[in-house]
Amino acid sequence: MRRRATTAENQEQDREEQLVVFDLASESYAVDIGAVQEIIRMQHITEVPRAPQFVEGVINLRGKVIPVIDLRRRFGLTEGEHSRTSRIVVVDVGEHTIGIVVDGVSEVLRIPRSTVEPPSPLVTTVDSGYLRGIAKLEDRLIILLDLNVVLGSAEQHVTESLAANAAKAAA
Amino acid sequence: MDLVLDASAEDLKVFLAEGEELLALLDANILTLEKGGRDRAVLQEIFRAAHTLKGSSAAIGHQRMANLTHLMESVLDKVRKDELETSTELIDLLLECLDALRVLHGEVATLRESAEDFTPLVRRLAEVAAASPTSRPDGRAASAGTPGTSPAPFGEAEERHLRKLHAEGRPACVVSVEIEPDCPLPAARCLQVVMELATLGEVVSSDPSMEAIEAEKALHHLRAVLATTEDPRSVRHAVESLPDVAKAEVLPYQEQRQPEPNSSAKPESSAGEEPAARAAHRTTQTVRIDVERLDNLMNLVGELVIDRTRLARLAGQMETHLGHDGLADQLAETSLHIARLTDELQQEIMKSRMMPVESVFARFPRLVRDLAQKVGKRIQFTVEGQDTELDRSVIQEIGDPLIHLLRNAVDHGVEIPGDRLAAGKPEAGQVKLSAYHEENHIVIAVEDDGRGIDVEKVKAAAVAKGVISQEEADELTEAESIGLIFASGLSTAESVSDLSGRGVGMDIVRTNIEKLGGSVAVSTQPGRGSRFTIKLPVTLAIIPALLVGLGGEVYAIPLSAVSETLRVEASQIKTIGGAEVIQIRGHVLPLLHLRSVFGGAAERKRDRRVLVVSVRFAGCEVGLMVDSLLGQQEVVIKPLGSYLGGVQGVSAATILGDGRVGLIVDVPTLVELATRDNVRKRVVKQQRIEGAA
Repeated sequence: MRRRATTAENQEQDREEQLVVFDLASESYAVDIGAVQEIIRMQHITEVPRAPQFVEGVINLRGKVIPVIDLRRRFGLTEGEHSRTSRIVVVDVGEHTIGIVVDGVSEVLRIPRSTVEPPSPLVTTVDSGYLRGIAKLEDRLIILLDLNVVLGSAEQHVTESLAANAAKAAA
Repeated sequence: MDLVLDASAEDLKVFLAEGEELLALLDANILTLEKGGRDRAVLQEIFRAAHTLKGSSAAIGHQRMANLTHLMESVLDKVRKDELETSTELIDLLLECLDALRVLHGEVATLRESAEDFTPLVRRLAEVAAASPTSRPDGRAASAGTPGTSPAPFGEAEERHLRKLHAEGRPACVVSVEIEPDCPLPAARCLQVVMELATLGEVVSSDPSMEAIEAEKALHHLRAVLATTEDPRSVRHAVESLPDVAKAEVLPYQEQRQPEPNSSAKPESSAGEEPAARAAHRTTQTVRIDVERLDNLMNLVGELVIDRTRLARLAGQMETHLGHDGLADQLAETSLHIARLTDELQQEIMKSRMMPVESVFARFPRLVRDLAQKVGKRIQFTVEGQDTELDRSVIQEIGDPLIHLLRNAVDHGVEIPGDRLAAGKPEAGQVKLSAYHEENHIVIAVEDDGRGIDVEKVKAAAVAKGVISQEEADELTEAESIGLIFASGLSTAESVSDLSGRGVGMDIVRTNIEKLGGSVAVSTQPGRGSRFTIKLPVTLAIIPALLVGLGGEVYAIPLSAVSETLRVEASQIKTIGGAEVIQIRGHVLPLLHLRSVFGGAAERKRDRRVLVVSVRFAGCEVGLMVDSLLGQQEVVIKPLGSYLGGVQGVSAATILGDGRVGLIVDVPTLVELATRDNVRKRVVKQQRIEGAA
């Protein structure tokens, strides 16, 4: 499945959000559809030595080599196995094209902005810095991710992990 | 301060690209002028270049640049008319103008005005342009071959059209029209003029073009090439009778006699002449293309190559399953044909990425000239093989090392005139830069006929700087001693001139060349000169690599760095100072477990046999231990992208035959890792001990 954001969709932006919803460790997450370039099946991910821990490796996307990250590791959730439903969501963030491994992609949703609330640490284990908000639907909650924060840059991550290590050492 | 221009982004892009070419042309030709005196063809080239620059800078609204080129043009016109001598001062003035133009040209790229003040230069130009004609010295015969005076030159494009029409036997002329400055609709008038001309003959071309006129971008000048049998006077009369036409000039075309080519093939063929002639020839046969587009094409072709391999495999499988069924046969045949086509496609795309080294060499004559002047040496600089082609990625990187070698040749190689005469050599030193194909790589050589490299001095300096010990120095062969000049921290220059002599140059030169997958060697004869020979792969985008298996993944090691592959018994591996080594042919080779370098656990598989790939970089050799050897293959280099930051030990990635990503090993980093000083010294010491035993 592959799509690109069009101006027609942007028209509704003011009152609605269009999201790609996926599953991760039994919770529902979503990202803005404008950032999603395509969704592909799982394929062999080549390990990259000494990459930040949450980077699973790199894959071949029609001749371009792009990094693939594991959101579970990024969020510090329990590790999981890749299943038949696992997918790689390819997103464009700034100048980077990056793949995100998810347990499964469930749907594309249009929700009114009014249903989105600011993130609350009580609702989810994920660090609220990564979240844009939480969508309250009738039957469930969907956690909206801020891709810029989630992905950041590799250097940022290195500094983050160094800082984390230093903090741990000091503790 | 911001630079405000009146042009679209597209226009600016074209301006920048064309400007680059013109500036390079000017550079080459001005130097030729200096050497050759009053060669008419060269003067005309310079004039045309300045004229074109004037036009385009005026078109985009870059006032200062247009002004400067206008004054240059006036000065050059005087020279053309023999009213000015081509003295050294004039050449220097022209070169200064060129430098100023470079800065002004650069302003368009950044859209910011530079802080430089060009008013003094402009003033001097104006003075020279206004000065009364200098008396022509005797013996300077009027140059042959100029046609009846043409007050304004024919532009290059116009010349082409005119020559073509002449060849077809159609008389033609150039109509130059000035519209009244206060005319409110110059574009409409231009259109009227063109339409009038069309009734008199065929308007072959016009400047501004029809599109520009219709887009109302016309100015108050119009030039058109008109093929007509009418009398020039009646054409002029017809145009001038139109309203708002201030003046019209009709210049009939007479074929210019080409000035005689310099038939005596000078052994030192000046670098300037070739690009000038060739550039004029080339503009009619090229298409300018964005480098990004070429890279995209390369990517697409790379993928095509992968799929065609898969297709071939599938076709083969079908044959096995279905036997020689008609369908399977047809598939196989088609697959073969596709394979051939993709091969050719790949070749063509790779060739289109090639550029002649001329683009790098073009700046060197000027560089050498200035350098020689600075250090008071006389240098005869020749360049050969400018057409030799290199991949653009190599071209980008080869400039700096070459500049360094040239600096060395001028600064250290060639002696001062007095010393040269005393040694029975001609006063001017010869420095030659050449490029040529050899087998499947390119060779670039820098030679000089100077004093050569004093091997003893190099050894002494190396010992004095602590690079090697005296005992080590005594044991070096001649070749190894000369190789010392590539060691960092070494410089035998007595005084550190600001050009070279800081001792960090040569090792960087070798490192950079090896990073490109090339090699550099030096040969020298005391008192006679030296020659530096650089060998480079033809392209960087695709490299032959050795594929190895490591922990379930496939890695590619650039073949240019591989010296050999070995199968060794585990028992042969010794440990010295904590580092594993083996001995080969009396030589000690430090080993690296690639897996531990790449962060995995160093699983000692306790195999009796271990596979080692010996790689070299900057004169050091290291053995990489791998799980399996998977064969040789040409791999297309794919960048890893900036998101991952730098990955230690990995330089890039490639797509393997099965579509998976393989990582390309960064040999320099690994070699450095394995040969850190203390390890190496211990290893060398051990070797000596064992050798003595």
